Amino acid sequence: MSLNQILPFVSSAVMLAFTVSVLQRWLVRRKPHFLFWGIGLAMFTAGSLAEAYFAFGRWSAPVFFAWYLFGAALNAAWIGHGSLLLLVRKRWVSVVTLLLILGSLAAAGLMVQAILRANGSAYVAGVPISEQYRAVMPPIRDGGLVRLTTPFFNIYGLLTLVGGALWSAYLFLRKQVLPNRVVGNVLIAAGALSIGLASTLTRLGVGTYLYLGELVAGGLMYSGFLMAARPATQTEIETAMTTSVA
Amino acid sequence: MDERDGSQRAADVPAGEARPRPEGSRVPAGSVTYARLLPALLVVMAVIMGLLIVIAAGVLLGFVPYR
Repeated sequence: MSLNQILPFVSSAVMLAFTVSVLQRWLVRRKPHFLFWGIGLAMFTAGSLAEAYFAFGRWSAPVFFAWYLFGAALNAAWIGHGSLLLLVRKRWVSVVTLLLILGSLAAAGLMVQAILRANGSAYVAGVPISEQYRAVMPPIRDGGLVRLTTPFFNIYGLLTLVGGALWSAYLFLRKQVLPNRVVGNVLIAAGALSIGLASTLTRLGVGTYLYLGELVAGGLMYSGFLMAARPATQTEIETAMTTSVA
Repeated sequence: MDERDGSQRAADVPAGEARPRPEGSRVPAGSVTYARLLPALLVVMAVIMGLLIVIAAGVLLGFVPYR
């Protein structure tokens, strides 16, 4: 097996552990940002698992559906929206939540339309799906409209996930408090940027680094989350809450 | 994705007494990492984020070839 066939399995394992860790926190705390992070990370995991499936060299329309919709289009936006829910507690965020859910459902509908017209016979075993999905997907004018939705979701995801982590790190740094959260947020931002870079290269026709980018992203974001989420003492919590932008 | 809901209970501190600041809650004083390196890293990452958003917007608007 080549490296590009092994990497999705490793990424899947890392992302699965990360997802379970976040969803466990949601089950205990019942905070909405944990739920959105958990759903977004589950989507990321689904995308990695789909890549792992394609590493066996078999075509499957449902697996391609999961790879594109969850792995390429939606996951960053859902993870980033969790960060927005944590950082901003204003009424307009509820409107954004509704728009995200409706937009995701619309993208799922468009993906059903695309998958019905997908050209599965163009799939070549042994070539990473990130390097050949364009040959499988129908053109935008012929049922591939879902491709136009990915930039919207990914721009929103980048702004909220990377922007949120950078903003949090900046606030803690400015207050000179909680160094673990400064470093944790820097790691999260770096991880999100690595997958953002790899995805952008893929969109521009260079899909070779996508799987490596996913593994780096999973490792960095999980490490950052563990570091930033380390239990704090009451004094630390009080200090941290004063840096909130809520 | 920082998580601000710490789980530990407040230490019992008698009224009127200053609560001792726990070790590790402050950025180390005079640290080059926190004073120079990390702020520079934040700026670099913000610039990269901006570039990625411009490229994604370019794809959306047709300025960047979509492949």
